[in-house]
Amino acid sequence: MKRRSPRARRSRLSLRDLVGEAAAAITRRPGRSLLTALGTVAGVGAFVATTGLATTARAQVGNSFDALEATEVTIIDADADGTNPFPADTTAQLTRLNGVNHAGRWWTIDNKTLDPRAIATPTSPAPSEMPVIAADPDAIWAARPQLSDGVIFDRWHDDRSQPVAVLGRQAAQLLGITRVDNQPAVFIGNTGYTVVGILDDVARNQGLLSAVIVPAGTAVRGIPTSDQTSYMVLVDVDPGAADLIGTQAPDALRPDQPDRLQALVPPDPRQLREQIESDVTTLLYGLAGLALLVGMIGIANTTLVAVMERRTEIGVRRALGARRHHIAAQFLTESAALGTLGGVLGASLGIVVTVAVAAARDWTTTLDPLYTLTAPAAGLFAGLLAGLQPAWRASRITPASALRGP
Amino acid sequence: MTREHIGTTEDRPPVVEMSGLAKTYEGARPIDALVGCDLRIERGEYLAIMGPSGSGKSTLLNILGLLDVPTTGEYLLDGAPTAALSEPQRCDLRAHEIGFVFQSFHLVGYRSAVENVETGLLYQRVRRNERRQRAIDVLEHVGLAERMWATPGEMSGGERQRVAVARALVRRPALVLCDEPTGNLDTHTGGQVLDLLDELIADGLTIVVITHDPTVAARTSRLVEISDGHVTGGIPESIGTS
Repeated sequence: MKRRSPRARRSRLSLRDLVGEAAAAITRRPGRSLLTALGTVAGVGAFVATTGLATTARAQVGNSFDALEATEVTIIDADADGTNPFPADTTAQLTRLNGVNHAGRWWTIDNKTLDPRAIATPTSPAPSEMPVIAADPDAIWAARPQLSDGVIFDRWHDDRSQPVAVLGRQAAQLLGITRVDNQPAVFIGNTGYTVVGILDDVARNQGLLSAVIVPAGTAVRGIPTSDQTSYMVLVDVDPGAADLIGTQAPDALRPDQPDRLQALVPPDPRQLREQIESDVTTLLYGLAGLALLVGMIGIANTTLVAVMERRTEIGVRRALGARRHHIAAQFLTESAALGTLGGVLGASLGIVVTVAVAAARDWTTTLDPLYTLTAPAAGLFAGLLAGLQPAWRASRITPASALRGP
Repeated sequence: MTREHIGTTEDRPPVVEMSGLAKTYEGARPIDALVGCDLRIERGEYLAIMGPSGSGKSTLLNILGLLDVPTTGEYLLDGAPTAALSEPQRCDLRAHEIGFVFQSFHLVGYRSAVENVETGLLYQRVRRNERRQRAIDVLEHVGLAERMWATPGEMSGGERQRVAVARALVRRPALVLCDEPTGNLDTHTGGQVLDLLDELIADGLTIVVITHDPTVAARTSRLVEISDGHVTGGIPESIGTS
């Protein structure tokens, strides 16, 4: 008898049929599919939420540093000898420099006998140790004040040593002064000062809020100051100008003796911000990666359980002619599809969480499209990766063992 | 349901021809499941393989269906030697030449009856429309035209087994292997399934039924007995004599 070689007709599975089989396995058992996808939902959701929160927090950190820390320069007396090292025209000298918005001298008058009072009676109770601060008008403006009433004295008052004062919020409360339209006065020693304004808040130099502030010119001519007084200049500069102003200011104020002055400049905000951003981002990305890994382990575990449960189906398909790679491809396609589904749901969940957290903290939500739009692809990749081992195991199941009766 | 290329011409080889076939399961204590089996099955034959539990019936079925490989011996399927076939080549032959009917039906639980039958053609890469039409035709043939959208969970045991038979038939195989096809059915329903197999024989199919039920064996045209791995009556007397 003439023997023929085995028939050449090959066992095949088209891509369309493969996708159809995977889609049926997913859609006909929606509960199980959702449970399987939950791992990826959690992983991708955590990934999008953490990256979204990282981006949002980064923007907040940047704004805070740009707004305050990066724009403040303080100049102090490096060799205090009890005299005022700053010239009277400090404001004029410094505001000539490019990048300076406001600059002015200020010092606390260290004189315990002043006892500011709201009325002229020497026996009236005085708030204990209420500080009196002498300041150029621009020193107050450099502190970025908010007024609750009145105005801040100006250069006219300063040059003419006018007996006027501005009260900090806490000082005004202690003195029982709430408005300035009735021209209230405070007495410092035996001299009365008309209150022209009340500070509600300051962004810098919080000590102003508890003090009675008088013009520097008025203080120089009318209030005795001890030898221990510390003189300072507060400068408000444009973002990024602090370093430059810090080097120029001593020369501008004391060209004869620049070493007498020392400029205190905050750390370069760009470097500081980059450092903080890097730390925050590394931490959050690490958490996101961990969450994604946990999600992948979840989907791998559930898929592996599904492979064990579907042993008989695998055996039937093998008996019907499916090759090993057909079985592997089907499980891998299911896993990838579930990963993509989890990616889409997870990305949506992550966006909701980011928006909710940002809203609760009064932040502006900032989302990076790179992470949100590619999240489904991350889910697909996670699904594929998680499905590799279960798919391989499914493909190694022999039909005879799979079809053996229970 | 007639298989077009199956003829009765005498020059065509038998569907199954085994000689000296043996299967040993290796292990701490090797088990000889089949010993020196000779078996010949002609086209259009309706053969019963009968034997007690543990006699080697399932092992023989697995080897006949190319689900397992013998340790020694020769097995020709439709005249072609199978010993040297690779795993993918055995898949190819299973996809086109062999149909299975299992005792526990083994339908895919989340697919409808018609989709389960279509699965029989999935790996032959038959186009989707043709696949659906052929599945519907076969379901009508086995009397399940009204139940084609039901899932296995919504069907009786008899209906499920008829779907399983339809899944085997839709492939137009050279050989249909039935493993205890009535084992999970009551007498009446089992009788209906056997009637269906009778019709298929009339259409020219070759069917092998593994059973330990004498009433099932009695309806076949030839009985082969197996005991402790030894096959008795594997070669028809006329051929054995000649």
